[in-house]
Amino acid sequence: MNEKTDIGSGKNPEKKSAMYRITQIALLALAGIFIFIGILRGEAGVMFQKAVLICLECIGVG
Amino acid sequence: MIKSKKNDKKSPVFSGAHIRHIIQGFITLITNSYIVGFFSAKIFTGKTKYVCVPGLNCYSCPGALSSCPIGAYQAVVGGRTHNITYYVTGILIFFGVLFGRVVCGFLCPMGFLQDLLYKIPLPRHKTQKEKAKRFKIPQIIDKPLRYLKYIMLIVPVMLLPIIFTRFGIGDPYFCKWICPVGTLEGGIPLVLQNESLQAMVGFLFTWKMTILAIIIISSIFIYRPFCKYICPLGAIYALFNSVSIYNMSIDNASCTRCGLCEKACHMQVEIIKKLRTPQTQKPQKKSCAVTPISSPECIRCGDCKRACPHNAIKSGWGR
Repeated sequence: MNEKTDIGSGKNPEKKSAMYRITQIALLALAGIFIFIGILRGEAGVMFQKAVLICLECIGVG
Repeated sequence: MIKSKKNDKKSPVFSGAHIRHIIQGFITLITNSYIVGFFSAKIFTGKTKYVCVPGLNCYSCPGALSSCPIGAYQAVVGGRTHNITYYVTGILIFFGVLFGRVVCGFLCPMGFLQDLLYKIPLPRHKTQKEKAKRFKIPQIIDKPLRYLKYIMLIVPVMLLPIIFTRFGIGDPYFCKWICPVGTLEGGIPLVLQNESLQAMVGFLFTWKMTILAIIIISSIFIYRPFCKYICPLGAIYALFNSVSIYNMSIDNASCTRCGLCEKACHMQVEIIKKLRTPQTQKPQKKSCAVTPISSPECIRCGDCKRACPHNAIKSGWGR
């Protein structure tokens, strides 16, 4: 993924772009799975409870 | 040749840079549109706070409609029940893969504030170019300092809330001791209006106000110091810049290596250097059609693209 492999590596550009696409799709799928697991574990609720109260530490008085 | 092309161009009413600032302003307003909160010194408690915004925007800002991803991350891992947060990590991966550091360039209120501050002219350096020349941080200091944001991500955001806990609950160490956004967006408007909060003001508030003042003042002289050196959210998105769906690239055939793009880049991305082989320092063969600009420091602002007289820099979705 770094620039050195992108420049003059002699790889087929079509193959490279296919690899990028696969990586992107895999990461998006991983993001979806993580969000789903997080919701099941109740993390969204924990976050919400914190976000609807004034965070005294965040504003500098806690 | 370059000059003649510049003269030929008619300057439109809204250039690309203006459009970017309009988008930044619009996003800042939308994400902080609970106006009632600013007058009542209360924060929004609606369901949209289940979701994180892509940029750094404190959820204790009276106007904030959604959650800050960095604050949310620390809230979950610092809680009693979880040491890892799949939910916030998933959201960050999603934004990272989709946008990379476009978030920093277009969608972050803190980035917008720093952009505006950098526009303030100085008496002896009226243009941004003059200012950039005068206040350029030497590479020997600049390069190692860029790694500070990764340390910020790993230590106060990820580790400290898990390691140092009181009765099973860890403080949001980055938000508490470093983040200037909470002070600016939440601290100042809430403390000004709420007497009980005024009574609680002490050392921590003074400390955070000092950090905020340093960042505001330095942003007038240096382009986006917070994004370059401190922001843990920028560090996360930087990791995705090489694989993000929105990306930028150089057309090798059109590029003449004139270096105008690098001169225009306020983030000091070495764009042309990547087109040369390290051994010979000669330009690469033009057989490779495009070279992606995948530097972790590129915020996709498009200044390089606008500066290129040969239209060699492209940006868009997909590769």
